Formats: sequence, C-alpha cells, structure tokens
Amino acid sequence: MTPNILIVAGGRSARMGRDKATIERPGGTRQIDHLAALAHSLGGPVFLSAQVQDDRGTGLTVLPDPEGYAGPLAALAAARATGLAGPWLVLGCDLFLLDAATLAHLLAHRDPARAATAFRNRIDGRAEPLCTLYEPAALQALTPGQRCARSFLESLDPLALDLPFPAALDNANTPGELEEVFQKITRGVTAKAVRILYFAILREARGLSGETLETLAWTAAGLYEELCFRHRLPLEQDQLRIARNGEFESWEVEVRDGDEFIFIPPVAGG
Amino acid sequence: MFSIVTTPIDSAAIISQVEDATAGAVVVFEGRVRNHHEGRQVRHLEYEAYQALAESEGGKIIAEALAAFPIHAAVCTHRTGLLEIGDIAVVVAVSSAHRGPAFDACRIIIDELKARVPIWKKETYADGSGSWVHCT
Repeated sequence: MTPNILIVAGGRSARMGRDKATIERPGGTRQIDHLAALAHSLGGPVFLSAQVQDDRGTGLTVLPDPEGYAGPLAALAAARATGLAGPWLVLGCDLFLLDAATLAHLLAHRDPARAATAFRNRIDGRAEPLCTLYEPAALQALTPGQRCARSFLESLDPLALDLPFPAALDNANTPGELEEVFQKITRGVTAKAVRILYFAILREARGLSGETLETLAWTAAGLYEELCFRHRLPLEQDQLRIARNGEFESWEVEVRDGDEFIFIPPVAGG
Repeated sequence: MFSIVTTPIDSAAIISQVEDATAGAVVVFEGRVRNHHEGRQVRHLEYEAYQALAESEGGKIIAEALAAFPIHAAVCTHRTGLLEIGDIAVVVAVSSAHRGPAFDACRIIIDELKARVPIWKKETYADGSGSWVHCT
C-alpha cells in the first residue's frame, strides 16, 4: 500500500516568529526538504498544503486551502478535492524528529477498516492528527466549520498506536521548543529524573507543591512543554521565569538527571 | 540583609539593625495590606515565597543598593502566609549620613523587590473569590 502524502506547511507560525517549513535543521537541511525526502522514500505522490501558492522551493504541487476550512482540517479538505483514490498520509511540517522507522511502523500497522490510523501522544495519550493515515471514509466525514483537528480525528474512532520511538512526534511551536528538538536531534533522546517545585498559581493548578518525574527534555522549554501536556498548566512560557537548582536560568538551560526546576509565575511581592 | 519570615514583622527591631551613631538619616518603608485593589474590596492576602531563591535574590538587591549609594546599612524583611488588612507585609530600612541616599536606596530596594524576588500574592475579595496578582 502506497499512500498519497500531504505535508502541511501550516500558517503564520506566529509563536515561532518565522516559517517553520524553511527552518534549517542541524546539518543544514531545511525542514521542508527533510520531510519531502522522507515522504518521497515511501514512493507515493507527495503534495504540500499551504495557505498561499508557495512551494518553498521544493517543486512539490501545492494544494491551497479550500473555502470554509482552516488549519490542519483545511489540508484534509484539500486532499479530498484532488479526487485521488486511496489513503492519505498527512504530516505536519513541524515534526522535526520524525524518522523513516516511525513512518514504516504506521504504514505496517494500518487497519484499512478503520477511518484513520494514528499515534498516541506520548504524554497525554490522545491520537495525534498530523502524522496520520486518513482513509477515504475519513475525508468524506469532513464538514465545513470543524476547527479542531484532534477532536475531528477522535470522532473517527481511529486505530491509535503507541509510538515505537516516544519523542518522534515532538514538535516545535516556539524558539525554545525548537532548541529542544534540535538538542534531541544532535544528542539523542534519553530519560532524566527531575524534581519540579510548584508555587502560587501553578501549585494550585497542579494540586501539588512538588513532584519527581521522568522527562525526555534537554531544555527547560521542553520540560515545561511536557508539563503543560500532562497537567494543562495555566501560564505560557512568556509569562514565566525559570530556576534550576536555586538559580535563575534561561529557557535553553540544560535538563540533567537529578536537577530541580521551578517555573516562576509573575511575582507580586511588596 | 534580606529575610523571609512567617511571623508578624516588628519594624522597631528592623530599624535597630541599621542604626549607628554616624547615621543622620534612617528611612523606613512599610508595605501594608490595604482593603482594596483595582476597585475590588479585599478581605485578606496570602503571600507565598520560594524561600531559597527569594533570600538570595533579595540579598543581591541589598548588595546592589549598598554598592550604588553612600549608605551605611540596608535591611529588608518580607512576611509570608495569611495577612489581614493593616498587617505589615514588608519593611525596608536604610541608614546613611544624610537623607538623600537613604531615600533613594529605600525606593530602589522596594521597587526591585517587587519586580524580581519570587514572592507571590493571592487576594481574597469580599465575595470570597480569589486571584493571584499579575497572573491573569
């Protein structure tokens, strides 16, 4: 089975501050070229979904967003509009850690009787919509006005697989998270045990003053992203400062086994 | 010196730490719990600190003031826990030969404390609801 493949180049990347598709990876390859090469290695036709007619120099056919759809679901609507038969493999362009083995695992475990085959998020367990095989039935279920790709995917009752390599779908929406995925690319993915202390609004949101947990993150930014997935914390990174082992640090500071981290909400002494 | 305490602050005891025979000026700032904030009636406040980092960062602020102004001594103490209206939340005391540097240093210390030191404040309002200041 060779799927049609659609790479979702996405929108304005406001939080990243630049187009994620054209970010250079460690080693110098642009992310979009890296993904296109992975996609081409599977053998099927490869398309790019984009809000504007801009192939980012890839030579891929661009499928523009149809009227009435937005975000990742617009990409699915664009795929349907091609009229091509067979399933669609849809890939988010910010999957900096995606590898050929993970894609092979997805294709090998496809169940064509299910509307979609997806991976579970390694932290919250929900099915991920942007490294996913959508069968024709899934595309037919798409209607205008749907907004949330995760909710749409869950409505399909997809086959949800555990990731063979847990960090493979870690993405990057901010410069801090980009540094995190670059560290995982260059240094590998290893687990560290860290202590987190919670204060004030974060202590109340978490319901705990501290916990020890295992993380795959190399940076404080990656660690906080994992915590947000686990616990739905109420503050964004740009509202917080970081302390590691009792000293103020930056979001890029390294996470080491045994470290203690505190994410410091806006202060209000005096 | 900067410290976090959980018991009521005795301003006289703080002042005694900066007094000396060559200091013609002692400037003291007391931050007190007031009964209103941004138009809402405040019932009480709860302060929380990350003590280790609060004391080290507060200590840096005192050291910066001592380096920047010709003052003799500077001390700051902040209280945490549940505070009622009128309670003293923080005291800054600065001594110097003449009043100018003591006023200036006292102002800088409290301003820097509010901006940098990991202390948080939750307000409880007359209707029983609460919110962490600066976190919305």
